[in-house]
Amino acid sequence: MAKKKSGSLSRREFVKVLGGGVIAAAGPTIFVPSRAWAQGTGPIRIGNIEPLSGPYADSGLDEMEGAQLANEDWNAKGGVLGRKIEMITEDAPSNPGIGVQKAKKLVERDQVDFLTGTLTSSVTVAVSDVAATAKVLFMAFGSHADDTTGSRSHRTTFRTTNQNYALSTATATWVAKNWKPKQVYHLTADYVWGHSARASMNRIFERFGVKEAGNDLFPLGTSDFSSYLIKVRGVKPDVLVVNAYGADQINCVKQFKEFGLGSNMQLCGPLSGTPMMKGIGTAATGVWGLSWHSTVDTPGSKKLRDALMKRYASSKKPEWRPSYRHYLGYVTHQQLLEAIARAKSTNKCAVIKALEGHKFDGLKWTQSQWRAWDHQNVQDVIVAKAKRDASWKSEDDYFEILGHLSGAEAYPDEAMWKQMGGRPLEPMSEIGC
Amino acid sequence: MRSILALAVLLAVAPLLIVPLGGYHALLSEMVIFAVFAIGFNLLLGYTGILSFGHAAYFGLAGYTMGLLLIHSDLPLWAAMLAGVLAAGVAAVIIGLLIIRKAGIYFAMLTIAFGQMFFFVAMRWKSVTGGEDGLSDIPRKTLFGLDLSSPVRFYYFTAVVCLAAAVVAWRVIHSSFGDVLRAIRENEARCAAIGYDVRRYKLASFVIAALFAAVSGTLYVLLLRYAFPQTMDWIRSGNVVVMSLVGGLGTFSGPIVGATLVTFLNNYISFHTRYWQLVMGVVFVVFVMFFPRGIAGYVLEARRRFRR
Amino acid sequence: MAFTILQQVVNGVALGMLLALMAVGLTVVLGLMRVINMAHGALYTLGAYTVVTTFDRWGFLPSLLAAPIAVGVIGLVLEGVLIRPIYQRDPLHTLLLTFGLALIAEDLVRIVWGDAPYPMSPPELLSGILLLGDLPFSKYRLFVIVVSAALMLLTWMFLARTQLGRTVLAGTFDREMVRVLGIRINLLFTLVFGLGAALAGLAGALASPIRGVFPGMGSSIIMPSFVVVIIGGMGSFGGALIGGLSVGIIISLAVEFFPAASDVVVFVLLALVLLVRPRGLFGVEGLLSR
Repeated sequence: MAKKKSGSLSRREFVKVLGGGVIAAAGPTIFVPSRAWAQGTGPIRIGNIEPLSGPYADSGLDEMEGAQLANEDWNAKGGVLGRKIEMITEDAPSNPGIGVQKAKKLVERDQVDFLTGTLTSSVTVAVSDVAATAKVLFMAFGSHADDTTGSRSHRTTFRTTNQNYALSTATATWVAKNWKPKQVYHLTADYVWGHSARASMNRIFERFGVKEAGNDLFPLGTSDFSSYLIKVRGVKPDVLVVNAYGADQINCVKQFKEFGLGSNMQLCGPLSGTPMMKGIGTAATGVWGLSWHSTVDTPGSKKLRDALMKRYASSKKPEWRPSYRHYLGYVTHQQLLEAIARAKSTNKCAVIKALEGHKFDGLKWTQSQWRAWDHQNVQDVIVAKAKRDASWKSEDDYFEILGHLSGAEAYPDEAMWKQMGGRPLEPMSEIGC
Repeated sequence: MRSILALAVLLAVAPLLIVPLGGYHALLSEMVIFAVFAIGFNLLLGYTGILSFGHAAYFGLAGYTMGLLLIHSDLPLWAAMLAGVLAAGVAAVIIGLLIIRKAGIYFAMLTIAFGQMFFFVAMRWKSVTGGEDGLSDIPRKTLFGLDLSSPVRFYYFTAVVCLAAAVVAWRVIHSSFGDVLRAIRENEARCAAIGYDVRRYKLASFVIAALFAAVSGTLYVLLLRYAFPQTMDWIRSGNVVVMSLVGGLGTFSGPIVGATLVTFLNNYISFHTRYWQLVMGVVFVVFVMFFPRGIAGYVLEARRRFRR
Repeated sequence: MAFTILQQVVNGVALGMLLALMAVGLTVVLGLMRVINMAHGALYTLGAYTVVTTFDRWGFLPSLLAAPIAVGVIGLVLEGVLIRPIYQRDPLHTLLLTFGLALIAEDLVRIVWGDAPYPMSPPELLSGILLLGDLPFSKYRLFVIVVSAALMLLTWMFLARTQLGRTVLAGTFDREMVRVLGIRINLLFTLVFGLGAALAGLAGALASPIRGVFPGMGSSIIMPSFVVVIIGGMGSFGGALIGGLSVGIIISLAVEFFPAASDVVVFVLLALVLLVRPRGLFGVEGLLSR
C-alpha cells in the first residue's frame, strides 16, 4: 500500500528510534523526543489522518489520493527546500478517540513535522486539540462545522474545507431567490454539523421571509427515514432541507423518492458531493452546496482533473471521476508545501506566518484566501443541481452547476464570526513562536 | 507473589523496550490501561465463570463522569476519578440486581443489551455528553501536586495503578471469597446447596469487575483527554473478552498478556492495512478454535510438564 | 394526525417484520444450540450484497430468491466447519467465534464490494406510493410486510406442522431428550443454523432498497434484533414475531413524538419487560436461565 514507507526510510528511522531508546535508557524523566535531529536534514514528514475503514472510507481514500498527488508533484521537482516529502497515513475511522490516538502516535513516535487530513467534524476537532497541545501545525481538510475555525479554533489549525455557514448561505440564497418558498422543513442530523447547518440556512431564509415549518433531529446513522418523511408529508412544506451527510443523506434522499415526495415539494441541502451521489444512484435530486466538482470549468480545475485522471483512472471503473475530496487533499498539501517553500523553513511559526492572510488560486473563479484571524480558507461556494437521468455517462454528470457565491459574500465577517462564538486564536507566543 | 514482582519489574522497564519495538509511550499507557480492565474482567469471566458482554459501559461511564467533573467543577483529579469509579459501581449494582438471576448465555445477551443502552445515552444526551462529538479538552490536572503532562510520567502513573490493580486481584483470588467464586464456576448448584448465597457472590464479582473497568476507563480518558461514545459500545466489550481469552482465562497473568498483546497488535496492524478488522478477526477465530486456553494457559502447562 | 399515526404504524410493521425475520433465526439457534450468533448481522449484510450483485443480471425477484439460498449455504458451511467442532465447549467460545466472524465478514465485504454505499432502489413496479383512500403508503414497504409475513408463516408451519420442525421445537426445550430419542442432533443443528442464516439473508435482501447497502449495515440491525429476542423470550417463535412488531412500531411512533429518543426507547421497553416479566413475553420459565 502507498501509505507504507519505503525500506530505506524505515532503516533510517530505526537508527533514530534506537537513539531515542538510548536516551530513554538514560532515565525516563530526561527523555526528550529527538525531533530536533530530523529537522533540516531528512525528508519533510507529514502525518496524514484519514478514515480508511468505516463508513467514510471512500472519501478518506479520495483525500489521501489527492494529497499524494500534490506530494508527488513536488517530489518530482526535487522536493521542497531540497527535501523530499514523506507522508505517513494513519487510519482513523469516524471515532474521535482513535483520531486522538493516531495523532499522538504520529507526533510522538513518527515525529512528523505537520499533521493533515481527517474527515468528520468530531475527529477534526479532536485532532485539532491534540495538535494545539503538541504545538504542531495541522491542516484540516475535513469538517465543515463552523466550530472548527470558530469556537474551537486554534492558532495551529488551518482548514481548507468550506465552512458550513458559507455552504448554507450559498444554498439557501439560491433556493430563496429561485424557488421563492413560503415555508421549509428541516431534517437535521443530530450533531454539531447538522445543527449549525440548520441555523445558517434559517438565517438566510429569515432574511427572505421564509418560515421554518418544522425541524426533526434524527440520530446519526439513521437508515430508515420513512417515519420522518411521513411526518413531513403531513406538514406539506414547499422545500425539505436535508442537513445530513454521508449515508444519512443517501438514505434520506432515496426514501424521499420512494415516498414520492418529489411531486409535492423541492429538496435542498447545504452539502453534497460525488461520494453521496454514488450511493443515491437513480434517486438523485435536489439543489446542494458543493466545494468542488469535476466539471468546474476554470483552467486550474481542468488541469487538476486531468492530472488526477492520469494518475488514478487506470485503477478505477470507467465512469470514475475525481471527487471534491481529491480536490481538498490536493489543494491542502499544495498550499502547505508552497508555504514551506515561501517560509524557506519547516518551522511551524514561519509556515503559519506564510499562510496567514495569503491569497492563492484555489482553482475556482475568485481568489481564495487563508483568513488571518480564524485560519479559514475563504473560497467560492458552488450551488449545483443533482441529477441522474438517461443522459448520465460518467460521474461528471452527477451535478449540473447552477452558479457560485464568492467567498466574500458567503463567509461570515468578523462581527458575525464573533456572534457565532468565534474564539480568538492563541497569541503566537503561546505556541512557542 | 513472584508474578507481582515480575510484573513490577516489567512495568518499570517497559518504556525502555517499547520504543525499539516500534511503539511509543502513549501506546504503552494504553496497553497498561487495558490490562487493568482485563485483570478485573478476569475475576468475573475467568474465576467466576460469568460472561458479560457489556462491561465497556462501566469503562465509559466512569470516564464520562470524571471528564464532566474535571471540566465543570474544581474537584481535584483524585476526587474526580473516585467519583467516576463510584458512579460506575452504582450503575453496576443496579444493572447487576436486575439481571444477575439469569445465567449463562441469557445473561450474556442481557449485558450486551444494557451495555448498548449506555452507548446510546452517551450518543444522544448531547447537552451533557457532547453526543457524537464527545467530551473534549478534558484537563489533566495534577495528582496530589504531581504533574502528569509528559507521556512518560503519565505512563508511570498508569503503571502504578496497574500494579495496584494486580495486587488487589491477587488478594481477591487468594482469599476465601475467591475460593467461593471458583466454586461457583465449577458447580453453582452445589455451591448453593452448601449454603452460600450464590447470587450475592456473583453480584459482587460483577461489580468488582465493573470497578476495575471504571478505573481503567478514567485512565483512558485522562490519556486521550477525550471521552467519546465508542468507548462504551459492544465492540469494546467484546474486545476485553477477546483479550482475556487470548491471554488465558482464569490465569493470573493471562489478562495482562492478552490486553497488552491485543492492544499492540491492533495498533500495529491498523497502520499496515486498512483491513485490520479482518486480521484481528482471524486472530480471534484461530485462538477460539485452536488455542482456547490462551497464551498463559499453554505456557503454564508447558512449565508444569517441564517440571515433571 | 390519526392518519399519520396509521401510516407510522404500517411503517413500523415493515421494520418490525424485518426485525422478526432476524430474530427468528437468532432465537431458534439460541434455544436449540445455546449459541449467540454475533455474526447474524453479517449474514444480513451478505443477503443485501447478494441482491446488489445479481440485481442487474437477474432482476429483483430472482435476486430476492438467490439471497436466502446463498446466505443459507454460507450458514451451513459456517456451522459445519467452524461452529460444530466447538459445541462441546463453553458457549463463550461460540460467542467469541461468531464475534470474530462478524469482524472478518465486514472487511471481506469491503474488499469485495468496496467501502462506498451501494445504490439500490426498489424495482420499478414496487417503487413509489400506493394511495389507499387519501393515504399514501410506500408500495415497497407493503411488499416487505407481505413477503416477510408469508415467510414467517412458512417457517411457523415448518416448525409446528412437520416432524422435523417439531423435533426442533422440542430440542429448544430439552435437547438432551431429543438426543436420547435417537435423533441425529448434529444434522438438526446444521439445518436450523442454515435456516436462520437464510432468513437473515432474506431480511438483508428485503431491506437493501430501504435501509441502505453498506459494509456496516449488519451492525446497525443486530442490536435491535437482540432486544427483540430478549423481549419476546428466548427460543420463542411467537416471541420473535410479537417482539419484532412491537419494537418496530415503537421506534416508528417514537419518531413521530420524541425523535431524539427513538433508539433509547427500545431499551426502555426492554427494561420494562424484564422488570415485569423477566423471562420475556413468551419465554418459558426456567429455559436458559439455569
